[in-house]
Amino acid sequence: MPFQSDLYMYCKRYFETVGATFLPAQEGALCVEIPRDVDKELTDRPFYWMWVEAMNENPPCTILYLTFSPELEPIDAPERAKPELITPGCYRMMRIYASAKTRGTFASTYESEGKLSPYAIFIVKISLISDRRQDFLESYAIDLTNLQVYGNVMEHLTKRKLQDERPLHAQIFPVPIDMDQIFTLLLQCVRLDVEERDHTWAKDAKKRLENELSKLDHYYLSILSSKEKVHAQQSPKELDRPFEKTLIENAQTNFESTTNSWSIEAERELRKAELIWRMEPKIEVRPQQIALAYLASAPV
Amino acid sequence: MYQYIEQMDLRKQLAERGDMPAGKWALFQLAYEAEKQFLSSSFDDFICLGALPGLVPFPHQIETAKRVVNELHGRALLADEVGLGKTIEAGLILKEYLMRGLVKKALILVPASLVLQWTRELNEKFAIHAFAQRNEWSWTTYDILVASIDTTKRDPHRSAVLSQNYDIVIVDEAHKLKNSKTRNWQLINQLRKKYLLLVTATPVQNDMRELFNLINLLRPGQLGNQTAFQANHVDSKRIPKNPQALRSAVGEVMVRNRREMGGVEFTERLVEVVPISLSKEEQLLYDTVTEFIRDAYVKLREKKRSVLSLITLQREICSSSYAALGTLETMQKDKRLTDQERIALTDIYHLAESVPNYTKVNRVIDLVKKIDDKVIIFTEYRATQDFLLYMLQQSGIKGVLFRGGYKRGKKDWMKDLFEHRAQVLIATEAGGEGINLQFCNQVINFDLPWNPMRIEQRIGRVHRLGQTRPVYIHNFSTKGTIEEYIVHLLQDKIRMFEMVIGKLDVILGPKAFEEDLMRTFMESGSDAEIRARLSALSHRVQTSGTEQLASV
Repeated sequence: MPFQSDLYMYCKRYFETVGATFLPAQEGALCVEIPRDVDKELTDRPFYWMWVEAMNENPPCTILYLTFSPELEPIDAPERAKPELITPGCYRMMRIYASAKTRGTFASTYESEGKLSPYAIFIVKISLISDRRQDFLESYAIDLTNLQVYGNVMEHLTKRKLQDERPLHAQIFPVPIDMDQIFTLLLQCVRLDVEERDHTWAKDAKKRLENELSKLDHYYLSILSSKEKVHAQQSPKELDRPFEKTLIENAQTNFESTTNSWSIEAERELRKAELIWRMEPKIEVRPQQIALAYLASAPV
Repeated sequence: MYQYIEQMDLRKQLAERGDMPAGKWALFQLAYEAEKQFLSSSFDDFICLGALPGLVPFPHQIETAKRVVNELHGRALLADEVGLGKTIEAGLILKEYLMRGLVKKALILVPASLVLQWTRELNEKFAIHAFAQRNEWSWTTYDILVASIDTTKRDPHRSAVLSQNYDIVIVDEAHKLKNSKTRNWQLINQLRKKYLLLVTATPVQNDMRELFNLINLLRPGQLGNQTAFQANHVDSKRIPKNPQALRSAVGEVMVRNRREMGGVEFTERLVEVVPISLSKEEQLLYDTVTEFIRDAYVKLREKKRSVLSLITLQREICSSSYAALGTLETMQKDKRLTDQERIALTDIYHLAESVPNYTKVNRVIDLVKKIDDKVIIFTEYRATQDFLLYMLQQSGIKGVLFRGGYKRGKKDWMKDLFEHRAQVLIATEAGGEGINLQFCNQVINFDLPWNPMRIEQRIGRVHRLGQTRPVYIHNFSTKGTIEEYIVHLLQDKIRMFEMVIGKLDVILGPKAFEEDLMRTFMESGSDAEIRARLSALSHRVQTSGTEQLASV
C-alpha cells in the first residue's frame, strides 16, 4: 500500500528531525525512543507529567513501536513498548501532524555555498468560506534585498539542498529586516492574487443568501400582517370568526406564549443573523508559517 | 461581493519570539505537508473519511452526510428509519465540519439516558473530543458538549446556553420537539446556531403540524406560515393534501432513508405464531374479566369518563393474570364504583389469584429450551416481567431484566450479562431506545403492544445493521382472546413483521390506532363483527400506506 509507506516515510522524517533515537525494528515498523518534550506532544497525559515534575521523578524515555500494515506481526517489539498500528487519521498520526505543525511554524535555512541572499518564505492558507469551505495552501518568497515577490516556491525549494547551520565558507548578504514591512507586502500580493481568482462561488453564495433572506422576510411579514389583520378583525362588528382566523391565532400563540421578552421580531432578527453568519461569502487569508532562507539564487 | 479577512496571529507569535524566525527547515516542510494532508481542496470533497480509520460507514450514510453538507447547507432533518444508523450520519457531518474548520463549538442534545453513549461514540468512532455535560461550568469549559435536553432547558443551564453562539446544534430523538408550545421547542428556537441537525425516525407521530414545527426550526417559512401550511398541505390531521408538493418542499430540509430502498442488506425475518390454548381456570378468568370490562366500558363512555384503566386491564389480562393483579387492586380503591362493581372486581381478583398453572409461561419455557440460544422476551408489563424471570429461574434458565427506567450504566451491564452469562433477556418496551443486541436473533413477543411503532422498535433492537443471521420472531397468540385478533391483524392483515413498517410510523397515529382497536373490541357484538371491523381497519392502513406521507 503506497499510502501506508507515505506514512512510514513521514514518521521516519519526523522522528529524525525531532531527535528521537532509532532502535532496531523489522522492516515496515519503526521503533523509536522519544525525548520527553516530544513525548508530551504525542501523548495526552498532562497529569502524569505534573506528577513526574512534582515528585522529581526521572522515568526512562518512552519507546514507541509503530507498525504500518495490519498484516505485520510485531515480533521484535521491546518489552516497554506496546505495538501500535498507524493508519491515516489515527490518534497518534494526528498528534504527530499537530506536533510538526507547531514545531515547523518558524525556520531558518541556508544553502551550502555561494553568495547567499536572504528571502522570507511564507506559507499562506487561503480559505473561501460560505456555508461550505475550500482551502488553498500557497507559498510565497520575498527577496529581502529588493522586495521582489515570487509565488509557488515550495515546489522548487523542496528540490534544493538546504541545511540548518550557517555554512562556514559562504558569503552572506547582510540586510536589515523590517517584519512589518514584509508582512504588509505579502498581504498586498496575496490580495492581488485572490482578486484574480474565479469568484463565481461567492456570487452564488451571495445570491443564495439574498434569496434566503427574502424568503425569511416574506415569511415573517406574512405572520406579522396576519397578526394585524387578526387585531383588526377583533372589532365587535365581526362576530362570525372564520375558521382560518383561529388558525392564524394558533400560529401567533406559538410565539406569544413563550417568554415575554422573546417576541416574533426577536426571532426574526436571530434567524436573519444566523443566515448571514452561515452563508455570507468570506475569504480568509492566514499566513501560517514563515522561514528565513539564505539562497544562492532566486527560488523560482 | 465577499468579506475579506486577514488573520495576523503569525505576526503576533513572531513578535513575541523577538522577530527572527529560527527552527529546522525539515520541520517546516513536515508542517507544510501535514497542513496539505487534510486541506478542503474542493467545496464538494468529503475529507473526514480519510481521517476515520476505525469506521466503515455504509454508502447511504456517506451519501446522506454529503447531501446535508453540500445540498441542504447544514440545516437538516435526518429521518432515516430505525436501524439505519442516523447517529453515524450525524457524526460524519459533525466530523466533516470540524475538520473543515467550519465548526468549533458544538452542542449535542440527547435524552438523558443516551448522553454517555453519544459521548463515547463520538470519541471512539469519530475521534471527536466530546464531553458529557456535568455542571454549570461545563457550558463554557468545553467546545464539544453532549447534554440532556431536559437539563438544558432548565435554568441556570438554559441561560448559560442561550448566551453563547453554537456553530452546530444536534438534537437526537427530535420528535420531542414536535410541539412548538413546549420548552424543548422554544429552547431550540432561541438557541443561536449556525448549523442544525434534527435526528428522529418519526418526524410525524400524530399530526402533520409536528412536521411543520420541526421544519420551522430548520428553515422558517419553508412550508409557508401555519395558515398557508394548513391550507396548502393538510387535508386532515394526518393526511396531506398534495403529497407530491409536500414531498418536494420537505425534501429540501429532510433526508429519509428507508430500509426497502436497498443498498443495505438486512437478513431475513421469519415470523411464527405460537398458538396457545388456555386452561379451564384461565379461560374462566379471561371471560369474566372481558365481560366486566365490556359492561364498564359502555357505562364509562356514556359518562364520558376515561376508559384508560379498562384498556390497560384488558391488555394485561392477555399478558398474564399476574400482570392484572396490580390494576385490579387500584381499581378496587376507586371510590366511584358501585357496590355491585366492587364485588365483581373482588371476585375477579380472587379468580386471578387462584389460577393453578400458567399455560403461556410454560410454553415460553419449552420454547426457550428448544431454541437453545440467546432469546429476548418482550412484554409490556413489569409484573409479567418479574414473574417470567422467577418462573424461568425455577426451571434453571438464566435470565436478566431490562427496563427503560434503568440508568445507562445498568443498561450496559445488563446487556453485558446477557451477552456473556445469561440465555434470556426479559425486556419491557421502554428498554428499547439506543440499545443494540445484534448478537441475538430470537425474539419472543410474549404479548404484543397495540402500537405498531413499538413493535418495530422491539424488532429493531436485533434486526439492524450488523445482524448476520436471520431473525426469528415468535408471536404468542392465546386462542379465544383479543390477542388472537391482534396477532392476526398485525401479522396477517397488515403484514407488519415482513414489510417492516417505517411506513406505519408515519401514517398511523399510534394513539388513534390503539383507540380504534379498543372500540372495535368493545362495541362489536359478535366474532364476525370484530373480524369485519378489523378487515376494514387493515384495509384503511394498507391503502393509506400508498398515498400518504410515508412516501415523502
